[in-house]
Amino acid sequence: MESETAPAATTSPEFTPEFTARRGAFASLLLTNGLLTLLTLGIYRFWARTRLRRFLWRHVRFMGDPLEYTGTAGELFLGFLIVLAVMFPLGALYGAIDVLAPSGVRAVGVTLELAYYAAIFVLLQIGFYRMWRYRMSRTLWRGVRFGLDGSSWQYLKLATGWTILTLCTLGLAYPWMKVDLWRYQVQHTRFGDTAFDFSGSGRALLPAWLGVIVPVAIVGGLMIHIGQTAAAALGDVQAFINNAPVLFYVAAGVSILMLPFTFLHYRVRQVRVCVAGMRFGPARFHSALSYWRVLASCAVTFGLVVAAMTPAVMWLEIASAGVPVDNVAGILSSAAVPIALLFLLTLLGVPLIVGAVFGFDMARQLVTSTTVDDAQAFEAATQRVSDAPRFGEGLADALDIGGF
Amino acid sequence: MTTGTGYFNDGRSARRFRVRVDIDGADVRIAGEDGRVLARWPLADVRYADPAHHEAPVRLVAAGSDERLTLDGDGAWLLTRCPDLVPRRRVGGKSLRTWIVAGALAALSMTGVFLVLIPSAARWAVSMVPPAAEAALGVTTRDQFVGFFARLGAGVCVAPAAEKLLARTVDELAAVMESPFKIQVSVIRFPIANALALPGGQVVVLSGLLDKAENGDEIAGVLAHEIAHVVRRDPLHVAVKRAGAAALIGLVVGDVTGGFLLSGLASAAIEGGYSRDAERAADLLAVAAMNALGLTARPLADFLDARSKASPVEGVVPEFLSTHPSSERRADEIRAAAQGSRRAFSPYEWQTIRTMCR
Repeated sequence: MESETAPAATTSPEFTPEFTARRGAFASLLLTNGLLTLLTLGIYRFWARTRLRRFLWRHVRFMGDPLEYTGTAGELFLGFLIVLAVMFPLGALYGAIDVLAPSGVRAVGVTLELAYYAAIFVLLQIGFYRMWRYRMSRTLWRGVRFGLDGSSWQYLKLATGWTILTLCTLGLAYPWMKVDLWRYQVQHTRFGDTAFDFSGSGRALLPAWLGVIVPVAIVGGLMIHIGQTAAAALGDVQAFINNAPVLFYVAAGVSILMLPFTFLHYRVRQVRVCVAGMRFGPARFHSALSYWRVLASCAVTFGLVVAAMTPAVMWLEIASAGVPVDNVAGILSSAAVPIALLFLLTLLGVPLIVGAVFGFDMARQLVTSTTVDDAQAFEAATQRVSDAPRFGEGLADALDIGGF
Repeated sequence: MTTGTGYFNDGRSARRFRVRVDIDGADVRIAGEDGRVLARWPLADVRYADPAHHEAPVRLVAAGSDERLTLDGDGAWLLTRCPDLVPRRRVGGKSLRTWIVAGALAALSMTGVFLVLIPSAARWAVSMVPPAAEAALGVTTRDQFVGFFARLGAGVCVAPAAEKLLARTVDELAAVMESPFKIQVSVIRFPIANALALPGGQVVVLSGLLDKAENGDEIAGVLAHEIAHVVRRDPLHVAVKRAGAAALIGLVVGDVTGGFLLSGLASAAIEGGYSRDAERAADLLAVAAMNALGLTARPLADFLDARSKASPVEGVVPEFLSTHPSSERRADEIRAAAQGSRRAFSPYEWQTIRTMCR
């Protein structure tokens, strides 16, 4: 008998979920999924996602028992077909904008464009909430289902209000928006008959968020200021750009280079605050997700992608050397192999590296950095009979949200 | 051995019950440590909880229930007695024939969507666009087009005398075809023999066409063909059709592994230009208009013949694959329908037009 199947651990007050997946198995799953998705021109993605989720869910163990994903690809496919009926007219509308926008009927073009983006925003919010509802309804632990109450319209209203406020405050309200939307999501998520709760505020994220937006604001302000003085002095911005002080470029460069680091730092803080505020009855959550480990994973992924792409790019350079850049047919014929290789790398290789390195690391770190105390509350939950959605995630699929 | 141990979730709570499991007739009997029977599952109903995962610790479920049984050890003593651990009706178990039929049906319906549904929906959409809007669109499209050639160093030829001559014939043809648009011809100085119709009555001629043409009647024929496209509103139809196809392909392909790229390629491949039917219809309309004006359409046929000899590549792609009917067939059809004999331009007029870009 394997020790991990024994229920002896239930007396311990604090639990860390285990992540039992191996990277090799995950990578081979990603590879077959990617190949089949490519060969079927994307239709396989519903089956691919279902296999991926079954894999990830089964490898998350809490108090000795794995999560279980019971969704099927057929449900995802059905959801896709239904949403096709909604999204196709919208896509056609977007095509019409392309046709009408430059045609001098400017007012019509602008109105259509605004209507299109408004519709996309609405569908994004609703799609996200419905996706979460579907996933929760297909997630079981010890035979008891998770679920999501609340309404996607309420979620949409909340998201709309916060988005307007965030825009009005030039982004300052962003962390409050994130935390408040998460609060709505968590408070309506339940395990069996018991709802989760959340207490926390975006204020805890303010320092990290300021670290993101203050450099941007400083450099933006600097650019405007220098641009204005230059324009006043020379009457010609172009002339100024040609003779700009080095400081200008250094400041702009540093702020652009810093952005990924500050934003990643913020995102890690956000995960920790969002996890730490969760409650399930007396059970409390804690996240020790490490910025440095996430950063290291990003760096390794980036390095591997560069290492994979560089030989192919160099090969392309060598093979097409001497052919004029505008001679497309010439380049295609003399460098067909490296071009095909680059194509394959972009479609299969890079997603595989990103998934198997960064994706795997994130799943593992998210799971294993979380601890739950007083976890016995989960054992006290009882099944609730409720209406679960019969099909799923069409909107999220069409809008490409949710990740996997 | 026909007994074992494990733990059980009763599907009503998330508690674990330590259990003894044995086979009792055609059932698996699950009993608590106190001996009380918690559940009986018919052996035929026992499934893997996760159909893709069969390794220890083995987790089982009774089909359709929320109860879960996790066995200690490998559980082989029980598993060998369960006939249906992986449900038979799963996707991977379908026969090859089912897949072929499903695939063929899917391909058929997709073909129907792209060849019938989108084109006819686009026809309807085009009929809803007021001609004034299409004319405005035509002007911007032409300006973009001219701008594109300007960046290549190719300008518009300005020659009022020649333009007046072209306009005379073009207006006659447009009037006979009852064009909803005023036809405007722009000649661009560029060494490729081509002419094309843009939305809203804009026709663009590349000056290579004037160099390659044997006489003015060939130009008149080509212009009649392009005006026929204009009158049929084919250019707008193609634009709308492409937008629709791109939108649909984008959705079907999704945006997982480079779906965006695939959708662009696929939509370009599916609808490269006018359909063969549109091309033939434009030929017939053009010839009918020329007949009505007494103009000779035979030079158009000669021109197509000469072009197909000049570019033998066209013969390589079989006709059913290419969007243009082969030039030979088009030329034959045009000759058969041509009735007029009047020349569109006098030799002197033709000389004026031919040299307008020099």
